[in-house]
Amino acid sequence: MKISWSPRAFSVLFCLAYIAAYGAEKPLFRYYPVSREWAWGAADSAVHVGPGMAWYGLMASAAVVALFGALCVKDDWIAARLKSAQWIFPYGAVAACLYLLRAYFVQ
Amino acid sequence: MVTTLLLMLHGLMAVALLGAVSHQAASLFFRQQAAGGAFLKRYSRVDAARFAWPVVGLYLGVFVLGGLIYPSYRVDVRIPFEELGLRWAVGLFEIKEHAAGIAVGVLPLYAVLWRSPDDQSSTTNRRMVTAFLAGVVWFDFLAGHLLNNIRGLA
Repeated sequence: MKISWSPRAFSVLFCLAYIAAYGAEKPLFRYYPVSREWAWGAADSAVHVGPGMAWYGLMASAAVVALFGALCVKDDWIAARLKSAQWIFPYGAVAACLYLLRAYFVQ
Repeated sequence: MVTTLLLMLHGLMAVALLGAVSHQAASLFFRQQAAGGAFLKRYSRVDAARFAWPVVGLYLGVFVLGGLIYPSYRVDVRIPFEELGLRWAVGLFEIKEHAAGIAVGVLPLYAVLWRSPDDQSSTTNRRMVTAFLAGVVWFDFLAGHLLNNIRGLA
């Protein structure tokens, strides 16, 4: 059985899901590099040594949503709807990231 | 030692990626504009479609290597940045990591747009997505270089 998926839907949904996961602080998991521990979700009650890293979990959150969507949507369908607007999503996602990160650059 | 080797490999692959994606972007934007024997014309006179899969492969390689050395940055570099009050440096890396993450998610769209390079209906998307990828690669390269100059990985 051949599994069909939509690369366009994957990328569009990945951009949207990444920003949603980052803005809402919803990584699928975290990694603690000092103790080399993994933990589900954004926070738990356990005490961990050292700083936690959410980025791998954010990537995983976005990938899960994007993969699910890409398996449900036909590539031709999304290409016909988005036409020449497919490029907007990555630019929008980075713009949203810059907005969310503004605190690092303003006093 | 392993981290240093991975960082060097990450940087070397990033240089190759930078070259490939810059050639491709220049071909898309400057191929018809550049006049005479100008350097830009020669630089942009490449078959842009042939760069697509090398760009995807190199991007994934650079991305995976970056992901492997990221924990060392988080412990050995970011904490000193925070202690030195270099919030802008921490922020710069945050932009780098998020842009790199978003760009890896865009690779399927990039690849499918380059599958049919003569498809005129996808010209705008192909140009803008390629420019996005080139912009992210350039920004991440320069940001990484700058941050490594402030404090390199042990």
